[in-house]
Amino acid sequence: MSVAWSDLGAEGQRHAEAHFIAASLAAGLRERERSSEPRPSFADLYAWATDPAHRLAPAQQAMVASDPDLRRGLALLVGRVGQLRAVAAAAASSGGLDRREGPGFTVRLTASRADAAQTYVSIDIDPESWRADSPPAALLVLRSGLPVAKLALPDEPGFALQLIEPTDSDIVRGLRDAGTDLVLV
Amino acid sequence: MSRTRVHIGTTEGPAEIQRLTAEPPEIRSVVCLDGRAVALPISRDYEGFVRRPTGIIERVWGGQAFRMDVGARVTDGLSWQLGAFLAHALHANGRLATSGVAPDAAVWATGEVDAGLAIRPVDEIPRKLELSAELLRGLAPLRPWVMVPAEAAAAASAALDSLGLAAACRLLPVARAEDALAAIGLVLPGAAPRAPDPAPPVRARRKRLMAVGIAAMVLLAIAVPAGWMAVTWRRTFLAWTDQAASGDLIALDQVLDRTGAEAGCLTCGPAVRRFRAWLATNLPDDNGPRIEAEGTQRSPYGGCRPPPPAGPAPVRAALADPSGLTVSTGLCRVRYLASGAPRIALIVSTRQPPDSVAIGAGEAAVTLDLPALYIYASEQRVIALGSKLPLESVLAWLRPQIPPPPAVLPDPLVKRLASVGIAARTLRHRVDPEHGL
Repeated sequence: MSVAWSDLGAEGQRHAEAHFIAASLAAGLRERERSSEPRPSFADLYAWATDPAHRLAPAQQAMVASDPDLRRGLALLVGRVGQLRAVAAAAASSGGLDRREGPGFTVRLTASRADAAQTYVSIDIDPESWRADSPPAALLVLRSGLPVAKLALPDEPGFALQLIEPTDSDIVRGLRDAGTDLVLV
Repeated sequence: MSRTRVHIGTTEGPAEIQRLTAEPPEIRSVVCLDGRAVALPISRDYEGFVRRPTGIIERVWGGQAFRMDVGARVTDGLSWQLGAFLAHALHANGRLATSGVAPDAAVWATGEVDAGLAIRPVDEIPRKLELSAELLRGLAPLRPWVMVPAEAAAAASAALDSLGLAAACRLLPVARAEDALAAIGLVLPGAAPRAPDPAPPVRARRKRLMAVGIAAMVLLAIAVPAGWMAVTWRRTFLAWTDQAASGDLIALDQVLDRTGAEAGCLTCGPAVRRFRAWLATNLPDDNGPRIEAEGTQRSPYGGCRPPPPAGPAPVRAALADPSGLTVSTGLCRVRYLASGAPRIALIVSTRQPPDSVAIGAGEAAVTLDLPALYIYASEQRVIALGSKLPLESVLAWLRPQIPPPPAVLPDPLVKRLASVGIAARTLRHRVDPEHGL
């Protein structure tokens, strides 16, 4: 017989969360003892999906790419923590995109006239669509569920954000790529 | 042409303005550090300083968005404004000494510029001068201008004296931005408003004659036999009514526009207005069509089955006001139902064409199966038209003009439809994935 999450109550949910974190960390420690290139733990995936500054090591990225369980886990996680999403654009254009749109937000890319090696990334979010208490912290770029790049968003009031990024950076290339999915967390 | 370099005095040391670049207007103005992709926190204030309605740069020299590169961090406050103002003035005149160009003159400035171009006082000028002493000594051959708000003249003078820079610099207390511009040989662009040309008396006489003429024509029109008018207009009204009843409403709208604008026809305008008033009575009685969404919850096992007869009722919601967005969670199928008018048309659009369209009497419904991607939301735009008149031909005319989703039906289109007796409503419905599968 299973127990619904909502039946646990606040105290029970806190206990369950603590157990889960402890079990995840213990599994991660065991994995690190066993292998020089440890498999990413749930905590690693969670950190990538929620912490703007956290990066997955290339070896961990490769493991996510090759392990269907990790891929599914990351996809579920991104689905859970993501607030707004834009799916891969229709392949109507052979060139790079300069605008991506999803329900509730738009991303625009504009080359700087001062320096073509730099690109403005403008993110406009519909406040009505943003249901989290805190403002968006990061923009994740994924391709077929795999991490491509992540953009840490400035801690500014309002829902119109603007950043400058190198034109040849993973994030700008990922945003221009019609085949990527975008998730705001 | 002489080139002038501008340095901003800050409490962390001087910051050279390295370059100014006009950027595409859709960009917000930004202050960057040393040509790198690093936007400084003062960028938001700089945007407000540049762009109308608050910005004075766009007002004085034009341009909605700029990038200003500075050689050192300018962290907060507004004392950078006088330096930035001068840099824009020099840039507009092709005289800003950019990084790598040897300057013929130099300005060190600190001060806030208000909307009326008055210079407001700022804090810590002696400290700013102290931190810039080395720079100012280096610029001594150019005898740099040191521009400070007028209120700080004594403090700045004393500071320059104590630093041994009084002779090396030209201290200029400024009360208004124009004073600072004058020192570097510039003036504000002349934009004295032109007084309107007085109308010549002959034109006034002609106007009076025209008014008299129009009054005479109106009287003449009133004198036209009422019987003739009744017969003529009855025929015309009947033709228009037949056209409306056939649903050829857009062609009718064009006829009405042409008739209303017919030159020399005094009765056309009132007749068209009267007919349009009748057309408006074909709008649905209760303020337009209602739209409801009836959803089927996705099964935990991935399927999409309607609930069994004894099972839970499907999710049902009247969609929100057009200004809002209704959000549902975990649906795999949605049936949109529009009702509330004798004739109803429903257009449901997703990001993937084609649209789903239904027309009905009293109600119209479209059922949509949502994609099974479990991590993505989908958003549908639902447009409903309601009227007492047939909608088929209007729909054929309207569909190519509807912008792609998620845009709502533009106001001019909604108004035009209302003018021929059709109420239009656009709503947005987002379905989020079910989390915790």
